[in-house]
Amino acid sequence: MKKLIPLLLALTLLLSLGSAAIAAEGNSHTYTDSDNTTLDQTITTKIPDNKILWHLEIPAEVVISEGGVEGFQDVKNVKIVIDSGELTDGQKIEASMTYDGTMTMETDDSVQLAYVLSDKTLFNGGNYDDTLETGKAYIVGTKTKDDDTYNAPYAWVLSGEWDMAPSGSYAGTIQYTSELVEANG
Amino acid sequence: MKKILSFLLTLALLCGLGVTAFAEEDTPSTKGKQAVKATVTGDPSWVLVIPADQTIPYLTEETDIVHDDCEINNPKHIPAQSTINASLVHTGVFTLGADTSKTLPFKLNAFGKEVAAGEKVIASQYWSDTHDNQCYNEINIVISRSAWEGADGGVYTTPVTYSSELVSGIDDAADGAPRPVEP
Amino acid sequence: MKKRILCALLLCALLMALSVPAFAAAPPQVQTVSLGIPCTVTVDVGKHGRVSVGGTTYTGASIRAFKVDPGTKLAFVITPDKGYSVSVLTLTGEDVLDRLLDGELDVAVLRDETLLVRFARDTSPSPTPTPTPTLTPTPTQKPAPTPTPAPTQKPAPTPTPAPTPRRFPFGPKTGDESAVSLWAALAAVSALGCAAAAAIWKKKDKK
Repeated sequence: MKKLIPLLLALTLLLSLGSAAIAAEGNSHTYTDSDNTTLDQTITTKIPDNKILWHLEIPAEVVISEGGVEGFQDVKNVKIVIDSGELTDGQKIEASMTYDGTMTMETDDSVQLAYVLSDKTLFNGGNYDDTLETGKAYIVGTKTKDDDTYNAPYAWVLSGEWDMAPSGSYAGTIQYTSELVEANG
Repeated sequence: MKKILSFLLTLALLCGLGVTAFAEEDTPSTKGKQAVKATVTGDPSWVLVIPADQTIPYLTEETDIVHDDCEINNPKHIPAQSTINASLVHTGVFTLGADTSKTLPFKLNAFGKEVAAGEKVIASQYWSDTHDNQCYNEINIVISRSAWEGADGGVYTTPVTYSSELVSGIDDAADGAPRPVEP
Repeated sequence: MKKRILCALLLCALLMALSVPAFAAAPPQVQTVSLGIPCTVTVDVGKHGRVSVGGTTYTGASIRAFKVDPGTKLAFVITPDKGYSVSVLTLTGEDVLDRLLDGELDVAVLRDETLLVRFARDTSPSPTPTPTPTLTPTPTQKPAPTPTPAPTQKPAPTPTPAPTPRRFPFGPKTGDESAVSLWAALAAVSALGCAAAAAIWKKKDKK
């Protein structure tokens, strides 16, 4: 038994090193055969010219306070970041948002607290009641060759909803997606 | 030596597992989620509204003293799955001014049943799941004809005391009817 | 030490449990339900006067009752006969003579009430009237008509003398008008008392 334990531990060590090798990125693998010679396999990929790669920087969480209106501007707003390629005239990347307007109590998911989002354009001088429809996609950011524009929404909870809510912590999510849009013609 | 070797191999095993775990990448994406949060604080509170003082006309044998006028208003931060019950109690006698020796007895009936003096009867309910307030109107003071005619002349009064409390759980409707359903 | 900590924790838990009902209940409120039973008003009027209320007059030596709703305000007008005045005025046993103003008593009826009125002869003597002076006419003026003399009142009847109490048959005439027989009876009782005391004292001596 005493001799068996070190053997088992050695086998386990070899396995873990192997998995570490698999987890590492790379386009080439090095094999060692029994003659102790090395063979390199090279895998190459070809990226088409002007292929645009981008990602969304999802903003930090938004915390709504009682009676407060929380704006999504600056660090709380989504950003479109180009990873590779360049946008041409007529191309744009649009980031859109959908929300369900519901936060759920963390200790009891049957208890919900409703909130609303309003488009910045509407909020500034618009009607307070012109909130964004839940489940519908709204464009919150557009990136073109020369320009970035963002519409940061605002979030709040109606006072009646706040009073009715049992005390506790609530959380909900806003979904973001983005796509590359080609101009017609 | 063997012990040291065993220890080192165990450590290597743990590190290997750790590497495997870290191998999951957090790659940037063209979509994602953002959290929206809020924290609600405050003790449960509400306002109890009771029926106005009332005068029973001479020789009237049955009088509704609540008639839908007991309300639970402005509830705030009522916990989920709880009920606010507003109740009343009675003394069973009217007294002639300050002369407690001169009395006129009565009975109180609620939802078709007699309620003893000092016993609570629910006059209004609020349920946190439907946010609905049900007020009741089948709570009657009953004075017999003989009691009317046997009493000395004068103005008699009786106190009806209302109180309310928050209870855990969703209680049935006090009148036995199905609870109002949230539209 | 462990027991003390445990007791302290249990006490804290108890205090917290007691505080929960305080937050979860509202203070009690009272609805007052009232009713009115018609009140019986009894008017007991003695001789030599009358009482009027609500258009009805109750004359002397009568007891009458009527009903009013509680809270009704009544004005009793009490009129003694000539030569009499109100001697007793009570409302359900309470003396209200000092509330009688210009012959009227105001009552707010809140319960069954009994008004008792008694009259007594007015004992204060009536004053003799002074004659009016006659005017002497001036020469230049037309003679003023001679005024008719004021009618003289009928003289007050002389009061009948109080009857003299009967005197002990062979007693002298003195200024003391009290009943002598009563004093005699008192003297007899005293004598009997003394005799009894003497007898008792003698018996004690023999022992």
